[in-house]
Amino acid sequence: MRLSENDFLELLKEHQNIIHKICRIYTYDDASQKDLFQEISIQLWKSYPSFEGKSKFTTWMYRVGLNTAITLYRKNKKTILGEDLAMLPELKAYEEYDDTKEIQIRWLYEKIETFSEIEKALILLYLEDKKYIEIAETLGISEVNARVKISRLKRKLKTMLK
Amino acid sequence: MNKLDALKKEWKNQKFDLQLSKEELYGLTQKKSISSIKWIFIFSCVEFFAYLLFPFLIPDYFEAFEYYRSIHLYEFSIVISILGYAILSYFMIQFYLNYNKIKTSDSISILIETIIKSRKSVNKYILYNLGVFIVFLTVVLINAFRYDENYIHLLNQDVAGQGSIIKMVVVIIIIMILVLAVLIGFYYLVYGRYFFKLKRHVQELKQIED
Repeated sequence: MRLSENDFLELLKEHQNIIHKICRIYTYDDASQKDLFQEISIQLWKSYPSFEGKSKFTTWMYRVGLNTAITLYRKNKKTILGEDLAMLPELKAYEEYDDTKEIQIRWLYEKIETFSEIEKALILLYLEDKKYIEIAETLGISEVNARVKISRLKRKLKTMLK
Repeated sequence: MNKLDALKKEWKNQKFDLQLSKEELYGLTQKKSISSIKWIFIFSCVEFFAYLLFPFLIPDYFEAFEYYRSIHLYEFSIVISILGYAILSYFMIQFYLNYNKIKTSDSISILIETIIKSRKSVNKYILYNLGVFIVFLTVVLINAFRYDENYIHLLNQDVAGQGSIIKMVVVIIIIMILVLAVLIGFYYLVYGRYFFKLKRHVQELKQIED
């Protein structure tokens, strides 16, 4: 399946939240987030002519996006915790902020920040409900090991939630 | 539904204020890339051409061959020069082929491996150059002491106990060490952190597989 420019842009627009999520996970300030968003868009554009439709468009997007964030993107100086996060009230236990969805999401991003770059990719794909086989192929590991690693990460997240 | 599942549901429903239009997205895709791969490519090309052009920047480069003739190294120097360009071509082709294999749609582990492999051909080339430089310099010095009157004179002086050869050898070794230290420092600054990070990822992926 060859995508026309128009189809590609249409799909990119529809699924842009994937890039937003990757940027929020892998960067720590607005400027870097914008830079990474731009770089991922460029890399997607450059590689879409070779997209043959063997995998789903979104699977391919995760792959290019994560590759860009992990290996291609030249990070600016790391700012410790974005200002937005620093403005948040202290979050102590899950029950205390259960009523605010946005705060839950922010809490999750804050926790994800403590994981390694490879683990971040695994967590993102798990949260996005990707199949183990897709996760394994995106990282270049076996399906069994992807399953084992994810269950460990899930356990770690669950402990954080307690 | 447990807490993690509830959180996962929220995650999937999260909204982003910034939603770009097709036109805005197209605008972004047309911007210049600032990726590490691009920088590695530019730097590697600069390195290749720097080594390629280096001899021509030395004012007496061609006159030097006459000197090599006088110390019976004319053929040797010509062979080394021709071999140098042949090996340069080999490494450039290797680098280009590996560079072309870099695809952002590959898996993370394959992508990292191809980046490291591509860069390795440049590193090998630099090491090759340093090796040839040291061998060439050593051979030239040995023959200079055998056939060049000035050097033979130095040798004779040394026999007389002035120790000038030892001083010269020490100076040459110090210069070589300094050149090496500067080169290593330079490469560490340019590539060290980035490749250290890539290797850490490789290790982590291997650990998952173990």
